This record gives sequence, structure tokens and C-alpha cells, in this order.
Amino acid sequence: MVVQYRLNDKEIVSDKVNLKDLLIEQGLYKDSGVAVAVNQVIVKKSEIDSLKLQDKDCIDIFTMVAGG
Amino acid sequence: MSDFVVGGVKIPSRLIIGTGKFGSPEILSKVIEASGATMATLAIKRVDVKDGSDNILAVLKEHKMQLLPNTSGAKTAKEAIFAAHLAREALDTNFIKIEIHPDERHLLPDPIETYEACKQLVKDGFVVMPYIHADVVLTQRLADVGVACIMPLGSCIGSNQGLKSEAFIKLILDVVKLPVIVDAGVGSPADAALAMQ
Repeated sequence: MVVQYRLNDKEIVSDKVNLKDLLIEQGLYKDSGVAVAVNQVIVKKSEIDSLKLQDKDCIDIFTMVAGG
Repeated sequence: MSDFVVGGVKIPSRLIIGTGKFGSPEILSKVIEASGATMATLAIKRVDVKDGSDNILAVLKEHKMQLLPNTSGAKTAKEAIFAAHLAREALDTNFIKIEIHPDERHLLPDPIETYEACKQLVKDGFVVMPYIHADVVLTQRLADVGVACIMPLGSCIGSNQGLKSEAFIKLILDVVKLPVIVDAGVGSPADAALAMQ
């Protein structure tokens, strides 16, 4: 099964329906320094491993950068 | 000199490093070593999926810095609150520096949105460190809601104009018992020394 997502405003298709699996596939999974929101709702770190995604979900990945 | 404590955490150095103006992680690393600073600010941004991110976090962790994420880029209290919660998930820290500046030219803090964000984030359990104008009345209001310190501007961000707000900062020191951290506009070691005094 292939599912369509919107990842940081970019349309992607994937066969991953688990958030952690998708992040690993996209090279965006890290233990620290990354936060994720799905449909504008922040995902707690403890829930990333188990969160099931839905077709058309909007996923935003945030990371720490220089600033301030 | 008394210990510098914010949010119950002792900060060995009173000098805090902003990370936005360094040309490379290597230069930042050298500055951390030379300054003895133990706290540094950093921002949270949406990842550029193509380019990834800089490796600022690795440098700061290597030096065992106390991380102070900020909400730069936020233009409203709602955006700042969202950024604060993202930073908490990303870094496992309750420390948050509130920066809300709708005016992109001068990056002056919005006092009303800042107050609203601080009120909520204190309730949410954050150690809240707001960047504000050197405003005595706002300082008192923020102290009442439970912020951990205040960070009044010396002058406009990046202006290198030094402590234009010195007289008002002195008033703040007379009025509140909170730690006061001068933020923005510091352009020279002399400015920093004056702020420390």
C-alpha cells in the first residue's frame, strides 16, 4: 500500500504508515534535536515510535539551528 | 558575587552566547572555549528537507552547554507557545527564551503578545525567559505571572549600539528581584562589561 503525505510542504508517497519508519526512510530520524508535528499537533517524543499516519497527513519536521 | 541562578539552575557564567552570528561551527566552538560561557541560545526551525540543518546542536553538546532554545521567528503568542513546546520535545528542556517580534526590520519585542505567551508557558511548566523592552511596568507584570528572569534589550538587535536603555534597566533593577539579563544591542566587550555592572 502506498500512502501520500505532505512533508514540510513537499508531497511524498511512501509505503510507511508508522511515523518513526517514515522519518527513518526520509533520513530525518534523530534521537535528539528534532520535533515533529502532524496536522499542526506536536507529537510527543514518546509517541513517535508508535504513531500511525493517515493518508494526506501533513507532517512538519523541526530541528535546532543557530539563532539568537 | 552571588551565584547566578535561573529557574533553579545555577549558571556558572553570566555571559550567554547567541549563536546566530558565527561564520562556522568551528568559530563558535572557539568562542565558547575562550569566553567560558556555559549557556547558549539556539532557534528551532522547520527542516529544509533538501539541505538538512547545521550542526549547531552537536557543537553545543560537545561543550556541555546549558541549552536555551528561543522562539525567534514567532510573531504572535500562539506561534511562540507552539515553538516552545516543539523545543521542549526536541531538547528535553523546560528552558525557553521568548522572542516575539512582528516587526522584521527592527526585531523589537511585542509586549502584549510576549506577556500572553509567558503567562501560558509558565502554566505549562516552562522556565520562561522573555526578551522585552526595558519596561518597568511590563517587568512587574511578568514577574507576577512567574517568569524566571527578564531579558531587556540594550538597544535594537544587531545594532551594536550598546546600552541605550541603561537608565531604564537601572529602574528595573530597583523594582524587581528577578535576574536581569541584558539582551540585544551589545556590540563590544565594554558594552558587555557595563551590562554586568
